[in-house]
Amino acid sequence: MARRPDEEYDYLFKVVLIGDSGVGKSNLLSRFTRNEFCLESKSTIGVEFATRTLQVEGRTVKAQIWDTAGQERYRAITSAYYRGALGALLVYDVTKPTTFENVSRWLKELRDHADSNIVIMLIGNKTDLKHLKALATEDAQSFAEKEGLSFIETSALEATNVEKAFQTILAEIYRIISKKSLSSNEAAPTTIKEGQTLVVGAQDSSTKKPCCSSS
Amino acid sequence: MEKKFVDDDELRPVPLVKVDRFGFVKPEVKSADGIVKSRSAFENDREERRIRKWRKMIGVGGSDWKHYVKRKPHVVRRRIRKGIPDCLRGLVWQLISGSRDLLLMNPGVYEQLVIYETSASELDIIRDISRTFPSHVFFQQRHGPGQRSLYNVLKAYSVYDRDVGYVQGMGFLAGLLLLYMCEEDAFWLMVALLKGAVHAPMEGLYLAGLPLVQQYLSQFEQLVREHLPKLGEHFTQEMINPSMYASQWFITVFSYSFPFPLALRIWDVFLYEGVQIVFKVGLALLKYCHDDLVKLPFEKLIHALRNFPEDAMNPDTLLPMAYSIKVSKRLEEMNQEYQKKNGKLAESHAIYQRSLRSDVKLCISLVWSIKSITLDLISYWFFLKKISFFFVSQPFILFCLYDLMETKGGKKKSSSTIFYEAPLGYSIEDVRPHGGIKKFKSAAYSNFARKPS
Ligand SMILES: Nc1nc2c(ncn2[C@@H]2O[C@H](COP(=O)(O)OP(=O)(O)OP(=O)(O)O)[C@@H](O)[C@H]2O)c(=O)[nH]1
Ligand SMILES: [Mg+2]
Repeated sequence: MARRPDEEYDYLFKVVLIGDSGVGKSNLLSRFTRNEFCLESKSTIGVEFATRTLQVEGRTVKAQIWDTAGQERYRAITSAYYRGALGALLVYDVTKPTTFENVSRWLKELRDHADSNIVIMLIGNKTDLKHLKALATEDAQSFAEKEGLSFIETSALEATNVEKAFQTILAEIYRIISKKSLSSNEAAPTTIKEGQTLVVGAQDSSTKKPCCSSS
Repeated sequence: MEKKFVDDDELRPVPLVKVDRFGFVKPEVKSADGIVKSRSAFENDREERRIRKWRKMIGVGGSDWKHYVKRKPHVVRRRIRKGIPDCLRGLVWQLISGSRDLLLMNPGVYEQLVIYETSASELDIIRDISRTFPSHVFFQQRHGPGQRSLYNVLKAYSVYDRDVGYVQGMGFLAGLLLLYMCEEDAFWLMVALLKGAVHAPMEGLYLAGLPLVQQYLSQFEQLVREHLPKLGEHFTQEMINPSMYASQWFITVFSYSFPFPLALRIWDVFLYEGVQIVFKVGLALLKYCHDDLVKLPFEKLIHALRNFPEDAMNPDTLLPMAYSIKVSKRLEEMNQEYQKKNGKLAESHAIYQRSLRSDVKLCISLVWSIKSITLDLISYWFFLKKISFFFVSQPFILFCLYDLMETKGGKKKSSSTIFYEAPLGYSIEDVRPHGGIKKFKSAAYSNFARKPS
C-alpha cells in the first residue's frame, strides 16, 4: 500500500502529557500539533490524542502524543496510557505552587506505571503571566537536575519554547534509541507500519486494552 | 404575565453576540440561519399540537403525570423518544427522574448545603467553572448568574456526597440541567441520577477508581464485538479500545462535545430509560459509520471516533437507529457476569451505595442540627466573609442575609417573597410557549442590558 508523503516516517515515538489539571497540557498539545490556543478550553475527560511528524536530528519522527486528564480521580483511566510511552512531558503551572509540589507525586505515578527507561521532561508552563509567576526558574531547574529530568519553561499562549520542548524530548528519545539499537546490534527500524504504536522499549503489546487491564 | 415578558424582551437591546436557538454562540460563518427562522408554518402547527398533547399529559405543574405514566407507559415512552418539547423539558426531566419528589421531601436542604457547608473541592470547582460550556452565553460571563449557579450546584453536591466530591465532567451534567431549571432543581436531579432514584445509580462513574466507567467501557467493547463483529475485529487489530473515545460518552452522557440538539434528545430518553441509551447511541454511531471505520488505520480511526460527521449526529436519523438496537438483555447478563468476576471490587463499591432514602434522611438531620445551633455574631460574620469571597453579586448576599434573619427571628417567611438566586430568574411553573429559548434569551438580554453601550 502506497503511503502519502505525510505518513512516511523513520520513527514513531509515543509520548504522554501529564500534570495537574489546568496547567495547560491540552493547550501545549494543540499549540504543537495545530498551532492553536484556546483561552477557555474544556477540561480533558479521559484521554485525547494527536500526532505530528517532524524532523529530529535529520530523521523523520512521528510524535504520537497522549494528553491525559489531570484530576487525580482520572488516573484510574489515564495511568494505563503511560505504558509503552518513550517520553513523558510533566507539566506544572509557574503561577501555581501546588502544581509544582505535586510534581513528585506525578514522578511516582510514572515510576509505578511507566517503563523504567522513560525519558521525562519537566515543563513550567504559562511564563507569559510574568506578574503572577510564583515559582523561580532556578528552583525548578535544580529540582530537575536532582531528579535527572530535562527542564524547560514554556508559554502555550505566546508559543514560547513549545516547539523546543517537544524537539528536545524527541531528540533525547532518539539518541537513547539509536544508542540502544547499536549496542544490541540490531538495525534501527527504518519504517514502521502505521498503526503500530510502539518502536523500542516495550515490545509487549501493553498499549492494548489500557482501560480494563489495570486496577 | 406572559405579556409582560414579551414586552420586556422587546425593550431590551439586541445582544452583541449571535447565538443559536439553544444559546450557544454561533461560529462566525454559517450559511443556514438557525432552525427557528426556517421553520415552516406547517411545522410550527405541528409543534403547537405536540405541546398541547404534552401539557394534557403532564397536567398543571405535573399533577397528572404519575397517573398517566402508570396507565400508558408505552405512550409516554414513544413520545419521549420523539423528543420532549423544549419549553416543557425542564419540568418533564424533573418528573421522570424522580427529582421532583426528592425536592419536595427535602425543603431547605439545598440552601443549607450551599450556604453553611464547606467543601474540599471548592478550588477544583472554581478552576473548571469557566471551562464548562465556554461557548454558551449563560456561562460566559465571569461571575455571572450562570457561573454562580454552576458553582453552587457542584459545591452543594460535593458536600452532599463527600465520597464523590467533585469530579471533572460533573460540570457538564450540572451545566446542561441549569439551562432548563433553577439551581435547586438541578441539584436534586443530580442527586436523583447519582444515587439512583429511578435507574441504576451513576455515582460509580465518579467514585475513586471510576469503577462504573471501567465496567461500562468493557461492556461496550463486548457489545461492539457482538453487534458489529467486523468492526470489533478491526478495533482489536488496530488496538483501539473504548477508553480512547467513549469515556466521555458515559461520564457526561454525551453532553461534553456532542451537538446540543442531539445531547438533549439523548437526555430525554436517558432520564426515562436509563443508561442503556448511551450504549445504544454509541453502537448506532459506530453502525452508521461502519463502512468507513473498518477501512481506517489506527490514528485516523481515533480521529474519526472523536469527530463523527454531521449527518451521523442528526438526532432524527441516529436515534431511530439507536432505538432499534437491542441491548437490555445482554447488558443485564453482562452485569451479572461482571459482578461475579469483580465480586470483591463490587462489594467495596456497594458500601457506597447506601440507599437513597437513608442518605437523604441523613442529610435532613444534618440540616436540622445546623439549624438548631444559634448563630452568634462571630459565625455570622465568618459566613458573610466566606460568601462575599465567592459571590460578588449583591442580590445573592441579600438573599442569604434575609434567610439568616428569618431563621434567627424564628419566623418562616413564604419562599416566594425571598429573592432566591434562580439562575434564569423564573420558576419551573413559569412555562411559556417556546419558553426554553426565550428563557435564556431573556437571561442573556438582562446581562447585556446592564452593560452601558
Ligand atoms: N496565560 C496562559 N494561560 C494558559 C497557558 N496554557 C494554558 N492556559 C490556560 O489554562 C487553562 C487550562 O488549560 P488546559 O490546556 O485546558 O489545561 P490542562 O492541563 O489540559 O487541564 P486538564 O485537561 O483539566 O487536565 C485554560 O484556560 C488555558 O487557556 C499559557 O501558556 N498561558
Ligand atoms: Mg486537558
